[in-house]
Amino acid sequence: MRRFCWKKLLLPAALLLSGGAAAWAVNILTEGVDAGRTGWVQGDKSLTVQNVKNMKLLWKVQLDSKPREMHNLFPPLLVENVETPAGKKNIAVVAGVLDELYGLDANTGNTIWHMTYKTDYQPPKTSATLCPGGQTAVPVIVPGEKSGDWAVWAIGWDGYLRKMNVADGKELQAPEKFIPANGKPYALNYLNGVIYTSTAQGCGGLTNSTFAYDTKTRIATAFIPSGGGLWGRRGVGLSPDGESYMGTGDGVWDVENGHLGNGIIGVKLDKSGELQLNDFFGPKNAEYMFKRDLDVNVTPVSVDWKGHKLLIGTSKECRLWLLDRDNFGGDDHRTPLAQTPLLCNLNANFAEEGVWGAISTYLDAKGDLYVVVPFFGPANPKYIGATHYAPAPKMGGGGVTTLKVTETGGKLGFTPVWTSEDIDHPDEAVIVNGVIFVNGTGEDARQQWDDNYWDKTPEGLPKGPWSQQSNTRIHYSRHAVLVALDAATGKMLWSSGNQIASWNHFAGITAANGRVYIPSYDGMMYCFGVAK
Amino acid sequence: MKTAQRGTLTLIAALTLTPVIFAQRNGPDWNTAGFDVQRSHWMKADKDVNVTSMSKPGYQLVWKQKVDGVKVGLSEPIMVGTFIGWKGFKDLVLFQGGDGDLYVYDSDLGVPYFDKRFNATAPKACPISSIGAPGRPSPLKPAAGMMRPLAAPYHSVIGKPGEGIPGGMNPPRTGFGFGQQQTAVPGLNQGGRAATPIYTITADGTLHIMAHGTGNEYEKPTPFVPAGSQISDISSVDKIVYVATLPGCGASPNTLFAMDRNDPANPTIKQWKPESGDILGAPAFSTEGNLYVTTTKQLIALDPKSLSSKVLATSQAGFASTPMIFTAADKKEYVSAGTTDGKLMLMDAGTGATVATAGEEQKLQFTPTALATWEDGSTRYVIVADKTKQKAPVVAYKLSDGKLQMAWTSTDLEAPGSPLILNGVLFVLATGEQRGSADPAARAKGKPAVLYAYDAKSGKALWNSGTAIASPVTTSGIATGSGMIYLATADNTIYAFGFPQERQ
Repeated sequence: MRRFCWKKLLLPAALLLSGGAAAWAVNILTEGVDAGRTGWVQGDKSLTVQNVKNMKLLWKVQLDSKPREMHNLFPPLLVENVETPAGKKNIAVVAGVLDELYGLDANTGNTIWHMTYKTDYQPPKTSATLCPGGQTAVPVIVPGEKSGDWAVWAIGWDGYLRKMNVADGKELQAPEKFIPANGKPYALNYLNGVIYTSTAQGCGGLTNSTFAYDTKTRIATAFIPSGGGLWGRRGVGLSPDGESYMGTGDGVWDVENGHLGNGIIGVKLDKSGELQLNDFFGPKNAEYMFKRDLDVNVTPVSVDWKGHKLLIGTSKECRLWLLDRDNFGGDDHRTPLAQTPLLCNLNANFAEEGVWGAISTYLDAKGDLYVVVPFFGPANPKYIGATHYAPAPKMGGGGVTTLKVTETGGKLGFTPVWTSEDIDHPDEAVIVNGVIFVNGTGEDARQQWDDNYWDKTPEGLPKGPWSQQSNTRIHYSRHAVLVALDAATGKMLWSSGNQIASWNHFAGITAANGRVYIPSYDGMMYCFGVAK
Repeated sequence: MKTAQRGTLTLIAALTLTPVIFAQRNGPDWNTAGFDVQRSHWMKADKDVNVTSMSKPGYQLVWKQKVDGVKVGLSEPIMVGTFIGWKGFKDLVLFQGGDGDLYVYDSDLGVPYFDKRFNATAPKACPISSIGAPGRPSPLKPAAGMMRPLAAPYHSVIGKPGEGIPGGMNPPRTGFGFGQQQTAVPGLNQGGRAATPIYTITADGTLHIMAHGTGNEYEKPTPFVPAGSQISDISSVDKIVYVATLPGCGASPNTLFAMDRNDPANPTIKQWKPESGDILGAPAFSTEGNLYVTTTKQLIALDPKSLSSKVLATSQAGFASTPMIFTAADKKEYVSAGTTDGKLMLMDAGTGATVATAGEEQKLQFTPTALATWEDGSTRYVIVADKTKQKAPVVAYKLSDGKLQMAWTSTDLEAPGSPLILNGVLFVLATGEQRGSADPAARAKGKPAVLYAYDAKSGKALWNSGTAIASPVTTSGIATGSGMIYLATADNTIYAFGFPQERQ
């Protein structure tokens, strides 16, 4: 396979779109928009601060994907102008938890193709909220051998890696053994012929690890940090030279004895193709974070800015760390270039507060670097920026806050800019042309419930086909909301309101080419946008 | 890589199949007065506090919090170590007010978690001289720390072409698997996480039972002791809640009460009064479940369910302390107690026969009213303090060849309180209270308290809190959890000492 450059893929190709949307087309080939997981769609001018107020539901389609525990559909990947048997199509590739893959017409939502992975694997009958089984990783799309060809790589429930043609969904090669079955891999990443992922929760008995698979040599490798689950939503982030980054979940930070929990690791393939530890960072309060189950649970963002090779991470605790990718945390591996106070989660809550989705970064027109942080629960009132809106992020809701990365006298830092109004459990932001799109999941994020009183009749826990936690959370979940915020001010420009009937969990959004896609738990894919 | 060396990685890789590495997340808990129902006041292990670490600077006041609205004073605290609460993983310190109200703080952060203010009153106010600690269910044998197995140290694996990730990367998992859920306890903490009751007794004599994670009263409050009683520390063993009423207050002073809650809907209450003398405080339990009470005259063993009693020993001078029980190197259990003539008595827990005594030969003007014990290897130490004198030392005895021998004596402390031992370090409060009165208000006219730490083996002074505490301690004692020491002063301020750790 030829080498390719992500930046080239993200460069807009001038296309003539009909109607009022801008004439640009961008491919979204991986979760988090790019390999560094910035969540920033560069070069797309189709959505603007001015036109998003006119966004509307362009289409919605009920897919036959069935849920498993709290999972169902994942946000689509987008490839424009794919040669298909029916002519050129803009294709949205959508993964479903039950080993399904859909190729939808991005313009209409019509199904172009639909496939279910073939396997001899006999999945276990039991599951749990944290270990739903099935396909849990957003696939990744890479250019094919021939110009205009595209291949989608995906991991099935059986742990096998599959390669399908984006044009028709047909398998391009026999499935390859990658990770053990029944794990919980996260969104796939790709660079120079190597596919990366990580797993969490010990699902299926897998040791929590970060993985790589070389599509040329067919060699699989794993690095086990001996921490907690590596469950950053966007999977591992990558530097341009192939270093893979991930938070190490809820685990012991004890470097002397080889345990790198509640930290961030950087691993890289050595000459033999084996992942090796390259660097590591542990917050100074890692022990406290472990005690309070405040996992480092967010995909670190790899971004270059003004000559700095930066890595930005956060956690359920809700504070940002700014790291030098060439020197994590200094000599003691515990001193970041900068860190914020708590942005939220003053209650040190392990479930309903903190950062649960993904952080994003973008550069504004002046070249200033901003970090966008969706979070659950109330914001820290002492660190919400100069601008903030009512109703403020609240318990049972959440918000988005942005911070500007600053450099003063050679020292890097964060400055809070604004905090949004309340949004129902926002977990992912995607930035397009000065607009921040946010997925308010509407999910019931509780993992514990209040104790009963002797003199109040206990309300029975909801029944359902899944584990009790899932049944309860499904019962009490609300509906998702897609909102558009002005990146400069945080002002809400548009909201989907009540148009989305169901909620989502660990799903997300995709935005490009005048459209924003959001799946929901009931198997519905929504497409809002400004395009006709 | 900057500091992790390749050689280290090679060694680590060689150890990947060695699964026996454990990390202590927390515990065991100080969940009753004196840590365990033997009243040992001994927390065996801690990862931060030891004689070496306490010999260096660093131990300090971590937080303090004034508690508003306390009417009577605060007790010795108890602890709830890390648990999954409905708003996060929490670690709590709990104080009972003299009227039975409960004040619960996040023990790491020093912020209020919940409080329970019952506004209970008694027809006749009791001039309370001490405040019992709240209770939690306690095992007869103190639990080991909550351990969970760690995986092998960090390492890499690589497969052959087409093989995928090779086998062997998955070490056997032990314990409770991720994603699995326990069976929910009806009426308590829906969602299935473990929850335990907390017991307080209010001024009207009612037993209140709350879930530790929320403070919600999940069982019906039940009349237990007469209103206006002065109660001892509360104990709970095998679903029976015990408390003693102390002399001087209420309709039934000097009585041991036991509420059997094996059938929570139909609790039954038994009570027992001593034939001779006044009950000195909370009962202690042997690891076999026998219950022991001291009065000013006798050591009595009781059946924990029927409360049928047997006098095991009589002191001519009179007992001065509640009983403390330990298992010595010979595997036998002994009951120790102080007497008003300054002796420390060591008695066979089965027969009450005196095994050893100490104190007389020291010619100390000393009344061993507060006891603690610990073991260094196979050497058993008994630590005693005098809670009656304005100035008195802490005295350590060593049990050797069946005899109690003085090991060391501290300098005089200003109104010493009950000692505790944490991983070989003895902590004790110079409470600073003005002794000579039963009235806490009068005792509060003393000096600010000072917390001291000693090498429990040698008696070497290691550390003290200096001027960090602003008031005397009159009704509270000290307790420990996660390397911290907690106490409350007469002005109702909670203090937490420990090694500073980055938290929020």
